[in-house]
Amino acid sequence: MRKLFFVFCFIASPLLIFAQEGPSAETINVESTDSQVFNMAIDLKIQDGTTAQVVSDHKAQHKAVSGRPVVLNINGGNFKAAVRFTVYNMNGDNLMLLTQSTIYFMNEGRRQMISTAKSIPIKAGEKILFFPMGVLNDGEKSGYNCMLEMVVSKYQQQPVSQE
Amino acid sequence: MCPDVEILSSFYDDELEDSQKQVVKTHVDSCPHCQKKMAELGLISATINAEEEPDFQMAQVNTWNKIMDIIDREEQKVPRVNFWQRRFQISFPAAAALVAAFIVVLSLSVVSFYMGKHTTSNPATPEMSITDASDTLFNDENLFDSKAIEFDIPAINTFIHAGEPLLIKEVDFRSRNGK
Amino acid sequence: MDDKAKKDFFEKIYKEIFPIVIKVSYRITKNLDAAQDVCQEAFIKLYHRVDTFPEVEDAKFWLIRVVKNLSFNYLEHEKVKNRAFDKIKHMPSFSDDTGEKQLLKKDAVEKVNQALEQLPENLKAPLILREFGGMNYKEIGTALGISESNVKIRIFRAREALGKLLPVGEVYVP
Repeated sequence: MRKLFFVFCFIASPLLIFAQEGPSAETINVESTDSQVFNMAIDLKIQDGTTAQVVSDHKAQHKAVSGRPVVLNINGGNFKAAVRFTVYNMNGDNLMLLTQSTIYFMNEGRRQMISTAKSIPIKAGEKILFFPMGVLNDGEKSGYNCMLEMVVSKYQQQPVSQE
Repeated sequence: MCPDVEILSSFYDDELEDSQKQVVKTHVDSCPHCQKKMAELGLISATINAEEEPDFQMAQVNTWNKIMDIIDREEQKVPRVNFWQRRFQISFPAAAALVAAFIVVLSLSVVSFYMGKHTTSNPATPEMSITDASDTLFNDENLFDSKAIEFDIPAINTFIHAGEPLLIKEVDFRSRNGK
Repeated sequence: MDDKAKKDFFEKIYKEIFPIVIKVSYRITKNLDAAQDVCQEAFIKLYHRVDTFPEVEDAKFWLIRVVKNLSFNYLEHEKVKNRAFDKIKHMPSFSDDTGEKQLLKKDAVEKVNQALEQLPENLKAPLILREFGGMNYKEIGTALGISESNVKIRIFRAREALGKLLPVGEVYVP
């Protein structure tokens, strides 16, 4: 093994030095790293089913790395949720969004728990909706519902200020 | 009529509903066959519990200490070491190879310089502005922040569980509702 | 949840649930060291997500499920490891010449416990949770993700399998 390394160093070192003029290894690396990072804009809205009015609006920005979950904890009255969003970079603008949620809520004095995982193919910049407690139908509007709006976009490098 | 052994098993675990419990109890009290069955159930419990148990309290203390050790170690933030300050371990042959390679490269470049065939206009290593950018990328505190985003919404107690969680594109949701 | 609250909550869960899960794991693995390792792993996993559990109860069900799975995993692992030694293990041992009655009693305990070890996982887990975890059918159902009536049937079947091995004469009928 060591001998191999020895030989490799001998052969490779001049090559590495003279290979400067092509695209350098670093450039490629940074580009591919960039495409693995996303901005996630999350907007949580609480809607009164009766009046269809948004009674509470919470915004958050987060950076997400492909394959790594972004975790949200939602603490409400009779409703608590832990939601994990994971973005996977498929190719180019095509992404996969995986949503895993564990929801606890009180229902007529009993605590219930629902765990689900859902995924959806999306494109960068598209607006995605997630209803952790389902969507209120027309018949059942006397209550509150929770909605998460989300836009995943390519990570924009903050321009380095030049002084 | 004797109740099923399955019911006796539930009765033994005190898992019958009150009305049924009373019926079964009255029966068992007067039925030698069912009493024998109940005794058997008790014997099974007694038999599997008859094995000596180790000291679980000791285990509780020991395991707690181990867990705390691990958590403390995990939570001690390892300071980020700059690339150039990192210590490298390098074996002797590898070091020798590097030195030899350096000498070869140096002599080659000296030779080519004197031969006047060096056409590269910018022989110095180009300044890598991208390297700086990647530096800011990885120093960005939020990027690998594994802490959860906390949403404290108003303490409303009338959230409705309307059904399965739904994940949908806004476009599709609108067209679905438009119908 | 801040760090202090998180640690306090974690400690509370540990104090309440450890005595249950260590017993359960020990009964499955039959090895205290392994049971401790299993519990340690489960609680570390719990620590990393402790703020997703609103109450100790929720953590309890989750923990029991994880401990049960890890314990059975350990068993599987051991089985593979020990296959080579099986032949040696089953060679007749030269037992001490103990009193006949004691031997008989010991024999029954051993037999039933061996039978418990041999039970399939789906019957063994509910019975262990019932007998050693002190949990009721509903709790067992929640922890294992099966219905209450399923728990009832499985516990009954497990007992039925063990009951067959009991020496008939030992049951005292008043």
